[in-house]
Amino acid sequence: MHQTEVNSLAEGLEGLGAEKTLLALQEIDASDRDRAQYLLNVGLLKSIRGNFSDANKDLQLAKEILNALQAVSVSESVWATTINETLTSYDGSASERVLLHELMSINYLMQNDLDAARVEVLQASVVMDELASASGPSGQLASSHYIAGLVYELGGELDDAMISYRKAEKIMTVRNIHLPAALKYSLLNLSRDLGLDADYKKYNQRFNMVATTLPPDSAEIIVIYWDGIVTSKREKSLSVWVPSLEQVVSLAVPTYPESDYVKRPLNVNFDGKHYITQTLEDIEALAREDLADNFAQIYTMTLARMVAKAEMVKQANGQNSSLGLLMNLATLLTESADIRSWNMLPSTIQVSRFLVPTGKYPLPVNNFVTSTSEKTEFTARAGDKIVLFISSASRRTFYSYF
Amino acid sequence: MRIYLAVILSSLLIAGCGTQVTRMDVNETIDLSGNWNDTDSRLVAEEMITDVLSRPWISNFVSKKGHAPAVIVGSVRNLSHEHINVNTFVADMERALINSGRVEFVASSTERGEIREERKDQDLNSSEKTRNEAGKEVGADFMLKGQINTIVDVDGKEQVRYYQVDLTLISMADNRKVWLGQKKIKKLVENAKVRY
Repeated sequence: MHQTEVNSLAEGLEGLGAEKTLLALQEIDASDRDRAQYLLNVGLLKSIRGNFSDANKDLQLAKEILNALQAVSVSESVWATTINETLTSYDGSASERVLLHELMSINYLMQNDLDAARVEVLQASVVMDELASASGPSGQLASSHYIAGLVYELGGELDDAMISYRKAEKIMTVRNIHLPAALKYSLLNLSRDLGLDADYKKYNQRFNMVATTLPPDSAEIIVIYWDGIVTSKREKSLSVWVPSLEQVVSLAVPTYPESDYVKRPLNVNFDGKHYITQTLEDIEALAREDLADNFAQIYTMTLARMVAKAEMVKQANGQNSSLGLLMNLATLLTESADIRSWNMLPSTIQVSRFLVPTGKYPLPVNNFVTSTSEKTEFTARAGDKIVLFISSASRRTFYSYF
Repeated sequence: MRIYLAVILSSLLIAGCGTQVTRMDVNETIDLSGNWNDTDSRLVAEEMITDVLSRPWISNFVSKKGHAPAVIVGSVRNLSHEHINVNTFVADMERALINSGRVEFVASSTERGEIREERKDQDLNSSEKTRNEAGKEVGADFMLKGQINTIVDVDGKEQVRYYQVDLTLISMADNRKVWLGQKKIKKLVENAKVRY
């Protein structure tokens, strides 16, 4: 019931807005088991409405819970194998664990706290190292490496920035995603600035682009845009013939329905020029990849549980037909798939990076600004690096100078 | 079916364990998560204090100037993997250095703002006898700056965490580095594979 409500709120987030969705989410009584999922969503909603400090308090709590839950619980495993998997504590998917650090870094960037953003970047790197496997890029996020590169670059640590941008490029190549121009721009500029001539030549030929020099009366704008809301999981029934029982059992497993998300790049206008954001991370794909990676384990546990329940019903039937009927009913009522996820994440993370002449510019997206005290424009001064954070769900622009 | 019910009851019992609180000595070392903690902060501060007070920069300064050096704390950057409150060990160092009687500390730039506001307020509202005038602040002779770095090596549930704290004392007169302090801490953290 709780999860259905959370899923409905996530699906309606873009229509309802972050403010009202947050109020509605806080009305739902989340159990201790779902506490991490609740905090992730609350932290995210606070982030996209600009409460960065509060958001990070919630996300930090979620992080501590998720870290504590990485060990396998004996008691929860028993619940999962006897009743259903929703009785286990929500411990997040591989990508979600990395995205948590990524969002916290962005929140610290928006508070102009580069050192704290750097801490989150390093923690994301440790999590990705933990999740790394030879079989594929599971748990490896190009967007996290890109944000890491940006944080290092803003702090003047160009060597580390180059390493992170390279990692982002490598992951996107493995996942077969086109590199956004913002990443190409960073790879070209840093390889030139660091004197990595062979790398520069390689990128120059591959991207057919040259490094950009910042003219004296201009500033750099870096746009991080969150578009759409990731699809929520659904429950799916599978019928499986079990030879030992000589009957078909019905399994309830989580699945992702086909996504109806259509990428909507953000088109921003500065000084009469249009700049379009490009995809850096496809979270729709990551969510499905994480579920696919865990599906064999989920399927095995669900099948074992259903076989145990069917055996129990059979035994109860043998003793008393009414007891058997009761057991059968209990079995049906208690069986449900674990469809929890961090379902208020965006469908894609997009980026754009460009130069603008110094001057005052209106915020590119400010639909939900209601207070007259809120700023509707910002000033680009010579040499500034300005990071803009925009979400389609809140339709607000937040920015920070470096 | 009996086994099934027994398993459920056992799970209920395990899940029902409550919170316990035990008071302890502040000097006792307890490592829970493997993160930087009060013991690390204390060890670093103690080592740095012993080191900084045993070096010739103090005696050189006193023999040249005839008074104890005034030190100001600049930025101590946290470049580690953890959100470390560097203020605790900086405060530990400040306290021990002042109490040694060999060094004076002047207020940091953020503290100075508040004091200057108060001085302005005194100028308007305090009696002439008790009022403190502006322009009599003691300028610092040295600035203490530093950073905390970490290297984390991960293999599954095991981590080796290496912390390195570097502090530098810089002469305000000529930018000379008169003291470099370094403390290293290495920890092996084995995260639990099973919980109850």
